[in-house]
Amino acid sequence: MSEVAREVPGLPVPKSGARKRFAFLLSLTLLGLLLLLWVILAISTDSFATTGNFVNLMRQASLWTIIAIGQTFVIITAGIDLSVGAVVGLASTVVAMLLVAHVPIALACLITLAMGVAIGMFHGFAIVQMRLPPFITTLATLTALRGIGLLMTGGQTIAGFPRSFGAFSRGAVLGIPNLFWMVILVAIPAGLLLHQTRWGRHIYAAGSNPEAARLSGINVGRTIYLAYIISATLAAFAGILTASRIGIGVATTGDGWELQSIASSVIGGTSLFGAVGTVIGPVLGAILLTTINNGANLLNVNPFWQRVITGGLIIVIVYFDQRRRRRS
Amino acid sequence: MPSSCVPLATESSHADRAHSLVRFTEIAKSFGPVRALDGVDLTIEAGECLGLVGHNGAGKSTLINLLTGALAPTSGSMEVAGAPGSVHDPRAARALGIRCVFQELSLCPNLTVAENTRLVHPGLRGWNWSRRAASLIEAALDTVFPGHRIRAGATVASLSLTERQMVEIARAFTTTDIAPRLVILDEPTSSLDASTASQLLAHIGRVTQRGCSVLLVTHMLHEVLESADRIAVMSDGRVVGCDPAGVHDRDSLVALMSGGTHRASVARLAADRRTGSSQVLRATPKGGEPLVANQGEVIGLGGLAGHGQTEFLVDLFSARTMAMVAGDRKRDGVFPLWSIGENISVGAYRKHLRHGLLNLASEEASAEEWRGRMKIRAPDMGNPILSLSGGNQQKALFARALDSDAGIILMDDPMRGVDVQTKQDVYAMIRAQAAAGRTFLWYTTEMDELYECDRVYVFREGRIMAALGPDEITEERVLQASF
Repeated sequence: MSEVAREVPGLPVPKSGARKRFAFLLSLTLLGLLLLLWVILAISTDSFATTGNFVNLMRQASLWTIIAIGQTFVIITAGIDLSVGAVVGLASTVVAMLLVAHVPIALACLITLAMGVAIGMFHGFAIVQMRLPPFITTLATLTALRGIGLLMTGGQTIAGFPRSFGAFSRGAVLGIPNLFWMVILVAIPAGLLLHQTRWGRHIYAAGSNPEAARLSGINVGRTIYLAYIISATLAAFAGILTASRIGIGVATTGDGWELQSIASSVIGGTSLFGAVGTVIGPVLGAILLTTINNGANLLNVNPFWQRVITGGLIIVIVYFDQRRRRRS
Repeated sequence: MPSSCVPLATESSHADRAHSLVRFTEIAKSFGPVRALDGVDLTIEAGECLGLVGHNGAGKSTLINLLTGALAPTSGSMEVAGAPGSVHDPRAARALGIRCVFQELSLCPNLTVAENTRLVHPGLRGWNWSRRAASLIEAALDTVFPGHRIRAGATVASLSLTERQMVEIARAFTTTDIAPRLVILDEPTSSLDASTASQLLAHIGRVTQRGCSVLLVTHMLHEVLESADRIAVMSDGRVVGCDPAGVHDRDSLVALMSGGTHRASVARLAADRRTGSSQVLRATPKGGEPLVANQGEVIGLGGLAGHGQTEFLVDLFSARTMAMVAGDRKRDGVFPLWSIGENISVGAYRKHLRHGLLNLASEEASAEEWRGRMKIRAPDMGNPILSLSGGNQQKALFARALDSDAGIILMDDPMRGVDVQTKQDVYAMIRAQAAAGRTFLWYTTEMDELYECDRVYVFREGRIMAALGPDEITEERVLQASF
């Protein structure tokens, strides 16, 4: 051992798999924090530990989780997707208009998802081909897509869905809300894609060192397309689920959700500098944020404090991320 | 045997000096279980050039970090300029007149040459500081590298690697408030071509005459043999020899470093073995002569540094058929947050797929195999790549290229800062891989490496100036075509 180790010069020997262990520890910490919050809320309020509230919490968390997972793919490539909230709004409008026009539910959902794919492709095109910074690209589509939604509806809400569409989001299988099943449906393939396939490695590589990635034979442009398509498609999916949940199509749905998704992702350990992140992270991050919001409501905390708490949490997490980077 | 590098008074040409500039006594430095320095005695006299050579991982970097105040010794005593106590931080080192030119260049790429000069000279302030910084660095460049053609107003990012290193070196010799008393040069010529390298060596001669000391750390043995007054040889955290440069030659240094194993030069494969092999590549850089490569050939790209060889390789690179070994590790090679194993497998995921998913066990097994084949010095291939020394990182990058199924391997001066023993290992591996049918395009600034090639194309200003066959590769022919 010592004979081998002696050859390593100049620098302390980092312990094996330090990065993965940090991710694991962070997940455990978040999980612990989440359970602690749940226990505290269950003790301090009468209504938290009720089935109704819990189901409601899981439904709300589901929507944020799904967009946070997409956001994570983008952030790992060292990008950012500010448009997800707007995509949620537009998708809920589009699916609503299709349903009201008596398009079959499955087809309406497919068309809406295809729109998400198209938006993601446009982001990829702007970033890869036109070489626009991701921040600017998605900031532009954030405002433009909101505008398109409002133009399509004239600012009106769209109501009159088939009953079964709305019933889906209220239903449950094996005691778990359907919406949360959708999280599982998204998170497991996303986790496999990110952690177990070469495409996943390509995403990390593109965020870590794009030139080295290119010279290692990775098609960096295609990888960036992939990340933005995943993000926009999952946002469109969340838009469909939102429409189902609230029973109407409103162009302004999902206002500010881009920040919720970024916060969930970052709280879950994704580094805004790219190349670091997991799928379990944003899941836990989104549930934690939802719990804070839900608990604050139940405790009659001024809802404006929720924003302050979220901001504070981001600063603490990013600070620890920075410290870890400086050490390594 | 105690590792000692204190010249005996009767032998030293500097015996008349009352104090050594730097005196290390029994210095040890440990990082956890790793003893990077294992009891080093070393002096640097005022006005001498001390050469320091040794493997990657021998402890040279740690020694430099102690001198610059970046690290503190675990035990032992350090005396600089007669004052006992260690150099406790980089600012203290600077106040003592210790300057260092790092192997990994440390200029800020987004700033101009003049602004980078200002960074190390807090005294350059007030009205018109940028003009003064510009004239300071220009004067230094003129002195060290006459005819350099670098503008002080140029952004560092717009300079070639060679030019950046020239700026970095010149900056170390600039003076405002504190004059340099010891300049540490860590692989200073690794990105320089032959003519700028000799300018630097001449400058070292001039400054030592004036009483400034130079610590020259390099793998270019001929440079220390030419320029150094004394040469210290390090191995495994100890100084295993320290003698006046005159008693050494290349072979004796290599023998000291490697514990006596020195290879005979690799015999070139006969040209007739190549006949009948098929042409795999034909490319014409900038409308000059075409470059042709046949299967199983090792093609050298020679010429002075920065004459379009790197650009040619980068343009030529195509992901489908080729793999690249980057020269600028930090920028083009390493994924800094990844483990050594992940850095190797990135070019060859197809091999590790089971039902479309990556098989981590297969990836790890492959990493283990490469650790053995490339002799990568790491206790665990799951360690971060940055825990390796530069030379070992380079081995991992070689492993990445060789691990891929690419038929053509492009190499962009990959041996920069790699120790002698590793180089021999890699040369042998290149030979074996070429014999197995792979083609290598190898840009190198070292003549020794061009001798390893079957044929050599010499570049000048982006064009091929000469194509040398197996019997024509000589230093004169290469230099003739280079100038």
